[in-house]
Amino acid sequence: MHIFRVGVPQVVLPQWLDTYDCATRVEYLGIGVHGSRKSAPGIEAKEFSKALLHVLNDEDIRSKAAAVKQICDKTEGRVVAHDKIVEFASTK
Amino acid sequence: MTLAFGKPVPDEVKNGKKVEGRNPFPLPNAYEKDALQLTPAFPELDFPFQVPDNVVSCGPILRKCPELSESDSELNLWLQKPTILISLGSHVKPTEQIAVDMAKGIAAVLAKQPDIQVLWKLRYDWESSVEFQKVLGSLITAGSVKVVDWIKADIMSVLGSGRIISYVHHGGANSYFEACK
Repeated sequence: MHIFRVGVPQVVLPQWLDTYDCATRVEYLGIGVHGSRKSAPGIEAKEFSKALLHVLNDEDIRSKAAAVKQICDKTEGRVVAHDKIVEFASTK
Repeated sequence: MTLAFGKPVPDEVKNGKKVEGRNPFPLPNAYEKDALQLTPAFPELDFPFQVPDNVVSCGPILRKCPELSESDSELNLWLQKPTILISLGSHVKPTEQIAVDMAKGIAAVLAKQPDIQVLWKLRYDWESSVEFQKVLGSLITAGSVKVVDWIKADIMSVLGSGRIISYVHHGGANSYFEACK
């Protein structure tokens, strides 16, 4: 049975360096939430449950995550990367 | 043009010692002007900025993986209801306090939405924690929370089941692109 995937909303609990960037990015794109804005790199129960309930019930986040998935479905990244490397190697 | 692979920039050494402050950010060079650059990102998946011509957006670069029914049939059987996937990455080892706080957060969500379940990859000896058991013990016994120290299947197989309704992760690039894809 094939189940159609529609894009998964994210809750990001950042730990170091670039992971804070990711938490900010999912909020900027509207595809998830930063689940520990007040407590990172720690995690606090109420803040975490609030973030989860938010992504589970926010239609806008769900539809934006679905839109991002559609963009990602246009290519198969590993195949494109492979082809670009082969193309590069064969022109040298 | 050359093909550049991300590689750590070595610390500058003077008289056998590292020069303080020379290379505070121990990550690969993010960009090289004269090289072909391949990125898993699309402009639509990032903050707005100008992308140089030698950067090629490939889309998320992820391994091809089998259906979950093939790679982990036991997990596939359990994964019949809408599920929150929590996986903070292999380098994240929560303290007792963080593990218990996360457990409390999960219990609060399931109290409000008992129709869903939680799959949690947790690198913590929760079985020895009285406090953790107090919060989540009954939900684990009832089968609505599954805590594992390792997920055999590729995360993309788990996400590909179509039953994951939210992915909680630590913000690593792989996790981000897995969730986007």
